[in-house]
Formats: sequence, C-alpha cells, structure tokens
Amino acid sequence: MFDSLKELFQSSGGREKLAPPPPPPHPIVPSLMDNLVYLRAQFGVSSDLTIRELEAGGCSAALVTLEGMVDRHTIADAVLLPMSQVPETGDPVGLMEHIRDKVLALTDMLQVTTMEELIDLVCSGFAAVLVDGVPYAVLGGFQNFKIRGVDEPSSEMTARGSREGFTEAIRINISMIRRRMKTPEMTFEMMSAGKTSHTAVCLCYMRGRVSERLLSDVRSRIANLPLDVVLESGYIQPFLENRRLSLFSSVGTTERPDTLCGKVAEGRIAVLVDGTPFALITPTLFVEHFQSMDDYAVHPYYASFLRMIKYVAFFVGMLLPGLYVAVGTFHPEMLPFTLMLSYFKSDLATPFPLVVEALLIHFLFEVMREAGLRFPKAVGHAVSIVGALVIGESAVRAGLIGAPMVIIVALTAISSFVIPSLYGSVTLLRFLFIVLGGTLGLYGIMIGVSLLLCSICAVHIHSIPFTAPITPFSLKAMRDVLIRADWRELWKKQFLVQNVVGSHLKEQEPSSGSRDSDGQ
Amino acid sequence: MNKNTRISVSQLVCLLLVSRMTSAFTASPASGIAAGGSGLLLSALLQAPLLLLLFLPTWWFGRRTNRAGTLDYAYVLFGKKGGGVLAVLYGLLCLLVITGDLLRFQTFVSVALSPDMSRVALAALLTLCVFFAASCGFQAIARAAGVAAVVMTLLLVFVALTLLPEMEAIHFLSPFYEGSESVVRGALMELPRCLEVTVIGLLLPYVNGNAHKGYAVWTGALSALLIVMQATVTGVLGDFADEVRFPFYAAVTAADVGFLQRMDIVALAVWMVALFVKMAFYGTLYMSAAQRLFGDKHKPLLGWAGGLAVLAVGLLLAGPVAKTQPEVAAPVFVLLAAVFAVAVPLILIAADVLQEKRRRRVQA
Repeated sequence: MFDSLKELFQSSGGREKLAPPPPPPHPIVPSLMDNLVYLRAQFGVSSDLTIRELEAGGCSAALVTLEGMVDRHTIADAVLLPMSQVPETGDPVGLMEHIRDKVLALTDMLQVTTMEELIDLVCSGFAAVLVDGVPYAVLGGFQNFKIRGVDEPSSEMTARGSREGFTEAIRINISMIRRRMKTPEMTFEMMSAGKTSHTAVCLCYMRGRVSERLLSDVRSRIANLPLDVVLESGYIQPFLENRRLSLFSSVGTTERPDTLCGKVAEGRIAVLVDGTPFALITPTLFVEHFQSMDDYAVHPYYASFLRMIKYVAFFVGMLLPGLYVAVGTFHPEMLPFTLMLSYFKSDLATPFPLVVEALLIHFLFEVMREAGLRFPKAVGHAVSIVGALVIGESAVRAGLIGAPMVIIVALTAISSFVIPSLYGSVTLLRFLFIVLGGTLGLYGIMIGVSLLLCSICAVHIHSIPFTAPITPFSLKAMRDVLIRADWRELWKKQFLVQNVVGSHLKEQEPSSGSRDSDGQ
Repeated sequence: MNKNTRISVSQLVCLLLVSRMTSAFTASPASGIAAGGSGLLLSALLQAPLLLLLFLPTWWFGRRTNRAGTLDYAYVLFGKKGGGVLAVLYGLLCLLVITGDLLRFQTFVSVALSPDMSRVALAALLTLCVFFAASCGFQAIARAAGVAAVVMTLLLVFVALTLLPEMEAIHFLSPFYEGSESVVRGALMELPRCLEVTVIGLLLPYVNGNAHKGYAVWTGALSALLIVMQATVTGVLGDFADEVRFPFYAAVTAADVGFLQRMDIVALAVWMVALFVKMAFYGTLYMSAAQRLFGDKHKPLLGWAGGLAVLAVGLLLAGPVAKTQPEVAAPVFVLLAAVFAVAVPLILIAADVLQEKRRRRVQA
C-alpha cells in the first residue's frame, strides 16, 4: 500500500543512469613535457602542485609532489641528492630502473602507467618521478601530513578498558586494530569510495568467521557507491542499510578499536573510512545498541543490571513525555490520587495545554543541547547554565510551565543520553509520541508503539532480522541480550552473527556450520 | 505472500494466540450461562477439542498436499477463475475480521474509557497504521506477534496474581451447577471468537516445521490462558461479571498495585498492541489474497482500497454496533467455519482425488 511512497523515495537513483560513462584512462607517455602539461592542466591554478624539473644521469626528469603532503627534508636527502649523483649515461630507462631499485628501494614504492593512478597517489602523499623517454612513473611514499594524535574516544567513554580511540588517519586505525588482533585471519581490504574524492575505505573482517555472502554483499555495495565525495562514514552508512524508512540504523558506528575487534570476531564487517574516527559495523542488530564495552569488563551481575537500566532508559526517553501528556490530557483518572492532585494543581497554574507545554519545553531543550554541542566548550557550559535557569527555575516561577513537566523533561533527557547511538531516533519518536498522546491519548500512543514494533520487525540487514534474537527468539542468545552472562559461560559457545536465529545467511552457507548455531 | 517469507511454528502459535486473546480481553459475557462463569472454565477446556475437530479437514488437506496452502492449491486445481473466486472469498473474510476488530475497538473506546475522544480520528489512524504494518509483510507481523504474545501472557499472569487477594472462593460454583448442557453451550458460544480456524489453511505453506503441531499447541495454550482469564474474572467479579460490558477490563481496573493503585493502563496498552497485531495479520492475508488475484502491480492500490472500505464500513456501523455485541454472531461463524474450515479443504481434497484418478486413467 505504501509501495508508491517507497518508490518515490527509491526513484532518486534515476540520476545515476543518466551519468556518462567514465573517460578512458590517460596513459603516461614517453614525453616528459606532455606528461607535465597534462598534470598542470588537471590541477589548473592549484597552488599546492609542486613540479621540480631536474637533470639526472644525462636525462630530463621531474619530481611531482603536493605541498604539505610530503616530508620535504626526506625527499631532498633520499631522492633529490641520490638522483643528482647518478652517473651520466643518457639512458632514460636505465635511470628509471636505478631510481626504482636503488633510490626508492627502502620506501613504500609503486610503479604506475596511467595519469589517473599517478594523480591519485600524489594526492595521497606520494612523490612521483617522471623521466623523459619513459612511459611510466615510479612513486615513493613520503607522507608527512599533520594528523591528530590517538585520543580518548569522546562518544564512547568507558569506566574500564582502553582509552584509545580511532583517529582520522586510516593507516593508524588499522595499526590499532592489528595490535589487538594478532592473527593472519584479520584482513584489511582497501577500497576507494567517491568518484571524485577517491576516499580510502578499508573493509576489516576475519577470514573463516565472516560469511562469504555477507562479505561480497558489503564489497559490492561499497564498490557501487554512486557518491562523488565521501568525507565521513555517515555518507556510506545508508548504502549499507536495507530499509530506507526505518528510524533505527542497522549499521553501527564505533570510535573504539576494542569494540570493533569484538564485533569483527563475531563475524561482522567493519568499514574504516579515511578522514573520520568513526568506523561502521555491519550488520548491527537492534539489541547491540544496548551493549557497551564496559558491560564486558565489569561483574556480570552488575553488567546485567546496567543492561536493564539501558532498556528502561530507552523506553523512558521515548515514551515518558507522551504518556504524561496522554494521561494528563485524556485519562487523569488513571493517575494515583495524590499524583492527580498535584497534577491538577500545576495544570491550573499554567496557561498552555499540556501538549503545547511538552512540545515547547522539549524543543527548547533540543535547541540548547544543539547550541551547547556546537559552541566552544566554555560558551557551551554557559548555554547550559542559562538553559537550566531559564527553563528549570524562571519558567516554573513565571507560571509558564508546570513543575512536573520540568521533572519529566529532566528524566527524559538523562534517559535518552544513556544510549547515545539511539539518541536521534529516540528524540524524533519522543516528539511523535507527545503529539499522538496529546491528540489521541493512550490509544494514539499505543497505535504508534505497535506500528513502530511492526516496522522494526520488518527490517532485515543482509538477510538477518534486525530484531533477532528477541524476535525471532533464541533463548541461548539471551545470555548477552537482556543479561550479560559470565565470561566462563560466554566463551563456551562462540557467537557468529550469520548464525543468529532467523538469518538466511545461515541457510545458504552450509560451511558456516551448525557448531556455532545460536538458533532456536 | 512470498514463499521465502516463512515463519517458525512458535511464531505461528504466538500469532494465533494474540489473535484469539485479543477477542477474549474485550469479550462480553455470555449472559446467564454456565453457573456465573464457573462453567466457562470447563467450557474453555472443552474448546480445545472442538477447535481440533474443526481443524481436521485442513489437517487432512495439509497431509495430502504436503502442506500446500488452500488458496495456492485452488489455483493449481481450478486455474485462475476457480482460484480467483477463493481469493475473493478469503479477501472478504479478512476484511470482515478487520472491520469487526475496528468496531470492537470503537466500542471499547466509547464505552470503557474516554467516551469524549474523537472516534473517527482514532479509527482512521488505526486503519491507516494497520494497513501500513500489513505492507511490512507477514514475517514482520509474526515477529511482532511474538513480542505481543509474551507481553500478553505475562500481563495475564501478573493480573491474576495481583487479583488473588480480591478473589473470593464463594464465586466459584460447581461447573455443572446448571447442568452439563450449559458447559457445552458455553464452549459453543466461545467458538465464534476463534476465526483463526478459517485462515489456518492459508498459512500452512509459510510455516517452517510442523504447522499442524503448532495448531494443536495453540489450542492447548489458548485453553490454559482462557482458564486463567476466566478464573480471574469469576473470582473477582462473580455474578457481577454478567452485568458489565467488558468483565476482564473491569476486573483489571479493580486491581490495586501498590503505589500505582490501578493497572488498567498497562492492560489497555497491551491489548492495543495485540489488537493492532491481529488486524495487521489479517491485513497481510487480505493483501496476499489481493496479490494473487490482481498481481503485484495493483497490490498497493488494493491495499488502499481495502483500508478505505474497512474504515468506511467501520465508521458507518460503529453507531448501531456500539449498542449491541461487537462480536461475530454465532450463525455467521458457523457459516464461515463451514465454508473456510470444512468445505474449502474438503472440496480441494475431492478435486485432487478426482484429478489424480483422471491422471492415472490417462496413464493407464
């Protein structure tokens, strides 16, 4: 019935069909002059392109770099100086072989035959050597761009465990993972995303644990990305998801190498994107939003208690204001007597209907949260203080907002921060439930909840039900869902995501075996 | 429905359980029968064999055809025309059930709680959302039913335990106080609420595992839950259950749960989810029948049409029905059960036998 609506959303792909086919690759020609003219034409008036023309071994040569991307001192010592000392033979091919085998032998060396490859590598911090009369180029890796150091992840703080978080440089992130997973099964497959940006993307997975079908699916989705520019992992995220109209993302993100290693060890695939510290993890089940690294470091009883808190916080963050508005507006008789009295008392003192009051105060809260987040830290704190004073104190005193509503907002706000990965979805749903509760009472809210339930249940991520193992249900998998079992229990049976109950990946891959099956 | 969208036997049980228990929550008392409700405890037990008896033709059909669906097999045996007729009948049946539930919902809203609420807006939102959920597919609804069934069962047990102090032994009479006839009559009057038996034949091919066993488990689980529910109502309300429109809801309202005082809000919430899932379940079946009839292309249009038809009829009938019982009348159920649970499977079996004989004759 809503397929027409879905088709409308899906029809945006039509633009891609009209795109012209990519031009054929431009080969490196023997004439150095022609190659340099082509390069200058490609970069235009860009000021960072540096072409150093020189004579070496009796031949004309050029060193192509981008300013700020390479270490100039190393290039001077390790490339330019040895090249100037090559005896004059007048043999360009011999000179190039000498440069390749003797001069650049110790660095990250590559040989390319097309201009597109050359430009791509020069943009990544390589220095290219072109020699007149040679139809190829050799490149050495002399990257020396400034990057942020390894720091504590800001969005996934833990009380225990590692303090290392990913940085913007993909190679450093890879090394952080490799340091934790010292096995040749751990594979890092480099790809490129963005037709213009050529952003480096790395698929991380463990051979022998990952489902081959899942891997080829993710690989083909990234290879066929229609985007021109990829600046953040969030650009790729929607292309790894299946259902467009779902509010909850079935692709997780993490800033923590230890979390990533844990997920990859369960057969998932991580996607690292150069330029962002947020890695993507696919497939991510709904219950995984309630798991954090800390759960596995503390005592299982306490970890299970924390899980319960998270589930309760999720429902409080999403439903509490809506329920309060619904009960207050349409069913006040449902409130316990004393609560009903205090509700009526505050309601009489405020000018707005409850639904307007709730929408207004939640909207203001979101505005202040956004302002506090974007402002510099010092100003952000000031915004928070002003917000707390204005909303918490002055608004109640002025009789604009009832005191119970302030408590509701505070409870809701704190609860919604318990699960950061669901904050966006919970916020949107909160507003929806306030409107439903204010217009149609509890019935409206329950219709919304039911629709949400059915819509979450409809989501599949790479042929795995998003709601597994809650529904379809698996008792065995509950050891790490509603509770967190002891490690002595958890290690006994290895969990692989493709074997989760209801997964079609399991059916189509007999090699994944039933040994690890976590089904019904 | 796509053949790949299969559900497990446990999901089938949950789906059927949610569907039936939704009716039980708002069931109006069979006035004056079965010894003030005590007899209905036995009636609930007797309901299980009656439901199994009604399932026999479908079971036979399933065994013979290796669990083919009745609608699918009708297309195989009778071609597009014969199959189309059955698809129309199934589609109308599903719309009838959804309309019945919409009426039940409106009655409950206007009688039990918030009579001043906008009935039209609520009905429109419910219908719209139900048909959207139905478009999410059979698997999604079955999964949602799994959650709803667990929550519903927990609620029922919790309510029963909470109301334990309110129950009075004096309310429990001998089930045969008014003779064994009243027990049988009670069971027969409960049967019309079990319309699931009419669509089980459609579901057979979409269940992974033994759907027949699942049906049997459902009848057992249903009887157990109905007994708990009936015992709670009888123990708390006694003869007064005959006087109120929604006895279980009235009993829940009487529960005093510590500082929360009342828990009808919880019961209402769970019932709403279950009702939604039930309506979406029949919505999915309606859309699959429509899809068989007109193909994939017109499925969205038929979904809209079905939704609008349900809403229009539901709103038109809401007034007259609110004054009477929002239940399927017994003669209507007998007709529906006779057609869909008995006649359809038996006709298909007979046609299959004839076709096989003809095939053998040709081969000979």
